[in-house]
Amino acid sequence: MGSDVFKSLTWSIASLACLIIIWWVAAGWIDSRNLPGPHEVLNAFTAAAASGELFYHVGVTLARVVVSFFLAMAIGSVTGIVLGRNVKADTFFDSWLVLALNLPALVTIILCYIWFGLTEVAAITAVAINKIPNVAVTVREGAKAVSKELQEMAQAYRFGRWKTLRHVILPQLNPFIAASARSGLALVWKIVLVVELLGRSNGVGFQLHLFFQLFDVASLLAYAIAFIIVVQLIELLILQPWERAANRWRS
Amino acid sequence: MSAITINIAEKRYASAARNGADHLALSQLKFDVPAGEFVCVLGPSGCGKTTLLNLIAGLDTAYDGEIALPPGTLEHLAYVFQTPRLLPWRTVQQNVDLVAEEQDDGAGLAARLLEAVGLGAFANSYPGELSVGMQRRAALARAFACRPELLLMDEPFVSLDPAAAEELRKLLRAILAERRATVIFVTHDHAEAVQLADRILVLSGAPAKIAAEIDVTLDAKQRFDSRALREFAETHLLARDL
Repeated sequence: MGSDVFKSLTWSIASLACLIIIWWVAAGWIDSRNLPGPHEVLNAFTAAAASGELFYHVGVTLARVVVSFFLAMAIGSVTGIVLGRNVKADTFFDSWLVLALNLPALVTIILCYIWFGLTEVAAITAVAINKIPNVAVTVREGAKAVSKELQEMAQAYRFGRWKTLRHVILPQLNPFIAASARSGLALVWKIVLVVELLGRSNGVGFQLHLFFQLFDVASLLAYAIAFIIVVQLIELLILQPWERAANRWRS
Repeated sequence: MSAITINIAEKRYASAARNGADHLALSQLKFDVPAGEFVCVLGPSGCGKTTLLNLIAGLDTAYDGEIALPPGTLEHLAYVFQTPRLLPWRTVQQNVDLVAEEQDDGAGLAARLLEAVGLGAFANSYPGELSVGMQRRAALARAFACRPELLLMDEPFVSLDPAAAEELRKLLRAILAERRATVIFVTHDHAEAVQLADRILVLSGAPAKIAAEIDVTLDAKQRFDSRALREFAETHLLARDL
């Protein structure tokens, strides 16, 4: 097993190295400041890191991602559980959900800024609203499939509401919540950048907007890569171990 | 402890198979169970035995009639289902603890019960790692963890090989000898009913009626003697075509 991990890691590194070489060759061949090579991006990266700006803006963006992510997961999961366990509510609210799912992210963002002003609350709300319907739909499917047999067991032994939720229902929803958390993280951080670009004066999205106006492609890529690394670390160090712990009983 | 009185006038289901027409599951079913008695409800599959247990447990409240349990019984009611119904994401110990934790000595109780059903070494295993027989033992330990005054059992030893089922029946009687409880045990197996019950209620027909009531007069030794068991079943059940 250890050698399998090592093998797949070796392949990942080799394929990434390959991509960097292609980028390097292409940049050298085109020779334009619109396509900087890896070394120029690395220089921009170290400069931004040395000045502390990179950490500040990545930190601000990350804070927005965390807050809106947890907000969306909490509200979306509760909505999903309620709809999945209540046929009448589901029939009534289903069309609302379809509407919310198909509402373009940009529309929500613009409306939030118009209604609530160019504020932090508006920014977080806009991101959360974009993600809530996805979470709700995924968790709803899980809640519909909750075992009636275990439910009866919990009722016969008088588990009560909280004990039933914690020990009987949530473990069954765990795979669904984990799936929407992983796809959610990817979606949320992309929307946060748009929100920042349109109406915030800090964060990675704001910086990207700045570099766009300056045509500073090297810094633009440096920030993008910094954020990709952060998101990958969250995936590897938080989401994956959590999923493994939750699935320990499936031996 | 006073008796349990069951008086079901009518229990209907909306049946999908008959275009939503009602299916009459139980009708005019009336019997008492004195405290501490072991009653076996014996009848063919599909005659409404599980429905009866669900009504007594309060899982289903849509019926006409009355089921009177002595006060406090619902707080100490255990239900062993046809399948073990353990939580697969909790260890065997946790499954038993979840039911025991309301009790004064919850933690110690679970360990003692697991020891009693021979699962002491498997306390930290997940149910999926155990054989069906072991899962049934765990379900039995869980049932006793709530210190039951009333124990409902729905063919709890079905789908086990005969030897394993008999061993579990012995185990059940041994535990009950130490921890008294009123038991309503549903089965379609004559030998099982004779082996366990103080009294057998034979159900037949649809909707089910009580066709006979038989007091089992065998002593503890005779119950696990196959000849005595067969003779009793033949004279009291088979000879009367029950």
